[in-house]
Amino acid sequence: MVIQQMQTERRQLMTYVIAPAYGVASIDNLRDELSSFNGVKVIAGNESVGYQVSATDKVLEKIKNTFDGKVTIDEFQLMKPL
Amino acid sequence: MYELTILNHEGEQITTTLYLFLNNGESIQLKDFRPFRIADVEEKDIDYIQIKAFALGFWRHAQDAPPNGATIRLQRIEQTGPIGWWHRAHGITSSDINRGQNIKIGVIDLCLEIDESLQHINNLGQIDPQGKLKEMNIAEHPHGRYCCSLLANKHTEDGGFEGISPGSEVFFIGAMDETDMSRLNPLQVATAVLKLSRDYQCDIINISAGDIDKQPQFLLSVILQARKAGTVIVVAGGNDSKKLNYPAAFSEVVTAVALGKKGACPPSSPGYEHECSKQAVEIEDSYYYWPNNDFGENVDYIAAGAGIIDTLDQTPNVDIYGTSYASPMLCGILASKLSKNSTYLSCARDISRVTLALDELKSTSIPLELGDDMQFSIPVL
Repeated sequence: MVIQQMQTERRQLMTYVIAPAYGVASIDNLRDELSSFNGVKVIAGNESVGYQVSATDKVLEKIKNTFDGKVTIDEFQLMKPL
Repeated sequence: MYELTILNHEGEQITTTLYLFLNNGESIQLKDFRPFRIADVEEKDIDYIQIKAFALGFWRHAQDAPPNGATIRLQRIEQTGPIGWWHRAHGITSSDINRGQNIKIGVIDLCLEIDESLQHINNLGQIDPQGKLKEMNIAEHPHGRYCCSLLANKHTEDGGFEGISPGSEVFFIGAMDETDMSRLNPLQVATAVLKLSRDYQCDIINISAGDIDKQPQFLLSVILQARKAGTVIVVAGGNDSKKLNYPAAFSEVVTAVALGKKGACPPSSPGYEHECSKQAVEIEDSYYYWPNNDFGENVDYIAAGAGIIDTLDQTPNVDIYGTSYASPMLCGILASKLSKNSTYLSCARDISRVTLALDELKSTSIPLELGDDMQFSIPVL
């Protein structure tokens, strides 16, 4: 049962960009704050534009509630040369 | 076994890249074969081929499956620079290497291979995911060089073509993803936008990339910040004949799609096939709407982008197609307009500078109404 749950969570692990919302000057130690959530891994990014993180939907919901509109959360998608 | 021989205009075998598109939907890319002998492919498996010569100066060749053993002769691109049809389409009729001066343009792309013609481009390097600039990653991808050459090439001695605004100061940042080198990393693009806008005070930034299907709010945030710092963001619309994706679909950017010129591409080239398509709506008698353009209400301008000739080492190089090239074209036209506008040049670096630039572009463009999702303008100098 535990293994099945772990497998389900692993499947739902996706990559997102979490960034300060437009108009929010900056969020102190955003990187550290994101890393402090259990199950969040900060992959890349910087303070000015945001961080690429891997996280489950469940943790993402927690992040959304914690920052209460101060961050935006987008699915991470690469850009294609056109 | 399938065999093809590729010859140049003088009947000599030349080195090429061969793209084979198979009936089962797969494609194969082969390089360097003289002649091409493909052991595990039969003539009946082949749907379509496209050939690009490695030597400077030949049109790409596109053809439905030629018979096994066929010989294909590539057609030479005429050395008719420095002015091409794409200059004339936008009202530029003579050479002027100062055109676009006083204007700073930022270009964000995969990477940049600098040749002699582009020595004047400020290559700032590759931006890493942490936002630091480092030495450029060079991959075999000329996309960034094509954009810079169309925008700012100054050297045309061997019949090559001048950039659309060669007098502009161009700053390049590479945003190639570290794991997938054929794609741009959007966080690196966002960081580059802020850097070019704030640190280098670029008036215009070109992004010939995109196709993100879910609205990236973090990218919109940096676009808004750049506008607030006085920078116009110009982006390519997309090349799949579908609704615009992002960032092209943001109303806060200027989105360009591609224009072609009737009769500009020889019958063996991909451009001829585009021109003959039912979707290639005629524009102003001599031009056509490139049928692969993505569409939607946020398309702002149509600029030359299909059947343009890239110049490398002062010589016409290869024909190129895509909204990626309409976008720097539009940047260059805008730069050329703004470079002589004293009100603009003395304007503060804030949103009013963007408004002034966009008003100037709009006031001298010709509106076209080709259909519900095709309402945009063609900019002219």
